Amino acid sequence: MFKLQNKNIEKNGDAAFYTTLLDTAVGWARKNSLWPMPFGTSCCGIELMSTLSATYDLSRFGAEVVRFSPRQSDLLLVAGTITTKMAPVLRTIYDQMLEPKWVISMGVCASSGGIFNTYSVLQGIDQIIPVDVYLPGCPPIPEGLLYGILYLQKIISGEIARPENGNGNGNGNGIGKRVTYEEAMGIMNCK
Amino acid sequence: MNLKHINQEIFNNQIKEQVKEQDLNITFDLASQPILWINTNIIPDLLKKFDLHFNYLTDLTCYDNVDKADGNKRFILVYQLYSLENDIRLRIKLPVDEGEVVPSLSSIYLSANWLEREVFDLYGITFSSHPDLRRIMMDERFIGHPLRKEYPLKQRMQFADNIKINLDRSPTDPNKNDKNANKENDPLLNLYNPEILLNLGPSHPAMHGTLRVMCRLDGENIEDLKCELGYLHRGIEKLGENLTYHQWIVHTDRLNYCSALNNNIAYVMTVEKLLSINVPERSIWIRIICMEISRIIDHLVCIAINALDMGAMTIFWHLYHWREVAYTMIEGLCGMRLTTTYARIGGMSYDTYDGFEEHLQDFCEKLPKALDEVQNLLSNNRIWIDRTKGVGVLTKEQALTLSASGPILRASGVPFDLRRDFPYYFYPDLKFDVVVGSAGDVYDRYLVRMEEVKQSILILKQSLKELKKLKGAPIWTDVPQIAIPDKKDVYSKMEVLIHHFKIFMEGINVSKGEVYNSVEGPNGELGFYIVSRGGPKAWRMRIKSPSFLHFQLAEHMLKNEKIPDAIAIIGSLNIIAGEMDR
Ligand code: SF4
Repeated sequence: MFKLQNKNIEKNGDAAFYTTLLDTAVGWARKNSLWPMPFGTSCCGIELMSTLSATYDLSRFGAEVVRFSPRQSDLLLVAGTITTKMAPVLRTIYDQMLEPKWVISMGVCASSGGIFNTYSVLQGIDQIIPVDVYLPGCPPIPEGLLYGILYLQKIISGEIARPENGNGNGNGNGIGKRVTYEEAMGIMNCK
Repeated sequence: MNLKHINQEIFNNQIKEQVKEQDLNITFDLASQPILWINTNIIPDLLKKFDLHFNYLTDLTCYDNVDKADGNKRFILVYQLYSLENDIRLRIKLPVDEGEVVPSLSSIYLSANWLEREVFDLYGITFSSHPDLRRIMMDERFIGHPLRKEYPLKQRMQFADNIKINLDRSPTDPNKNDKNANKENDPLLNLYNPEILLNLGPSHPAMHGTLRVMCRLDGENIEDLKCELGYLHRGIEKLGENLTYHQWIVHTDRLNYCSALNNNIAYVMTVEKLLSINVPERSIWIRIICMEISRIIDHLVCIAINALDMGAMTIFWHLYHWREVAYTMIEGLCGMRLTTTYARIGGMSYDTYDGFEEHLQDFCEKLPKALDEVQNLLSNNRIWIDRTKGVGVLTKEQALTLSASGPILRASGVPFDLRRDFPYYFYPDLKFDVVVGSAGDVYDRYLVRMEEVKQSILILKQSLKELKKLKGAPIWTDVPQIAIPDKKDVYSKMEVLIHHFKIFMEGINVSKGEVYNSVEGPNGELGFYIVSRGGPKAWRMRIKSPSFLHFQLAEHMLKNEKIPDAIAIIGSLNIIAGEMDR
């Protein structure tokens, strides 16, 4: 990614420089300093906490500055069941986040409603917000979440294309489709 | 009736005599607990007339009687009462028709307030003279009552925005109005707005998932507040009516996800009572061990998070390490860390793994040292004491009338522990102390939890000895209709394959009847109330969850506290949203 121009760098204070593309440099900076906003509503949130704590230590991947204010974060980690009552809250939080922003849907509940196909559970957050990485599992083990974050880092740095409207890394039928603002508002009965 | 020191059996006989004169009907459930049928809500009179000391409302719920199996009325209201002095239960049933108005019980038991709201929300039964009859789980704009049998399981409704909470100053509060009037006239005080509304949650770091508290502030004091729940209402109870008994075990994990093992076992225990079967000794010892491990995990998480909310980060890292150690053991037992689904009706899904005993032994020896370290960091810590002592005091009387249970009730000085007072399994043979606090504040709740972890370690050590004695003993019940056959045989024998297929595709056949069974869960009394009309699915699956009642406690306790204290109090109540909203 970076090309070292001055081959014999020494630690003597001499200037050294690299050439790269601006996008690559920005992507590199962004992917290694993700500030997650944990939206942990239920069981998956507990595994998210395990991942943050000492044994798994998410900070090894530059994502330890957990922000509870959406305005300060660029990664929305939706961990847990989202009910229809919670859906407007989630959409508001997503709208409050500044660009560029990414979303990881952790666990089957957030991805598709999971085992709760009932009168009060939203069948997948991708109906109301666009999702970048879906993590299977009920709950995904902490290693699974780490994998998801590493995968997202590849998307951010441009190694893998971001799923756009069904092409990208999606399979073209449903998963990978990014919901637009208007569609989300339609689903949420906002006229 | 003199209720001093009688047991359930004597009580059952006595009440049979008593109600004969009163023209009331009494029946018994499958665990021979009495069910008293009444026609109008005469519970206050009944309690007075019979001089019954049922001072504790365990649960209040309802079930649909659309098939008219229990009389002609549409719904049956169920009141579960408990007498703490004598440890006896009484269930009162009141049939009501659609549109009928039932007098509220919230003047006798404060805890009935939210329980009645829940019945109103999910079944549409109205209560008269109720202080605040609104929907509780579903959105206010929701149409229909989802737990009624005719409501389709998958009929959803979306709303554009979060619900608004009104916190108007009540006009009947003259003192407050006067104070406000002065402030309005004073130009200096007008510079700032004394009535700031602060919305905590549903997405807030200190709100443990999805709790929401709307406060009106006066300076730093919380003058008035309303709690809002239902942000994690997943319809688990309705699913219980639509899935077979086996299929529903996975849903019990998702109730209190910090202690999933405990929920699994409490549920299968209830179904086993419904089926009147026993499980072998080895299974029972494994279950006791599992329940105590999950109690330890739950308490550790509660203390860790409570301390974290108040800024003591070290405790969090420290205790989470021990939780990981316990999780590794659980993963060995059943293959999953958090959502275990370990217990099965009639046995356990697997026996313990090789080396489990040594791991557990090691855990029991090392954990107390870590606890001592944490205790050294906290118990005499000036900041911790200042933040927790005398904060969020819950008196004995309040705790009882608000139906608190578990460590919270014990911290308030009520020595009530179902493991000792309404024993199940081999708990009567085990030696442990019931930990009781005195002040009922956050500090006491912390101390009670800390000590309970130590008592659980004692229980673990004793159980481990027994488990070692029973090495190789069977873990499955010998009732062939219920026992799940060994996987090895399923793959090699035709009859066993058919049998296996029948159990999982059709489900086990449960006869008609009902049962209420509860265990001492980590954060309170966790009960399951199952009404069966025969067949493989339950007619009504009710979860008596401690967190629901504890969040109601919060509404009473947070009033006139400071905001930072509110965070400490909510943390000390250990409310788990999944269990609260179900
Ligand atoms: S995916 Fe499973 S573990 Fe995660 S929130 Fe849903 S039910 Fe809980």
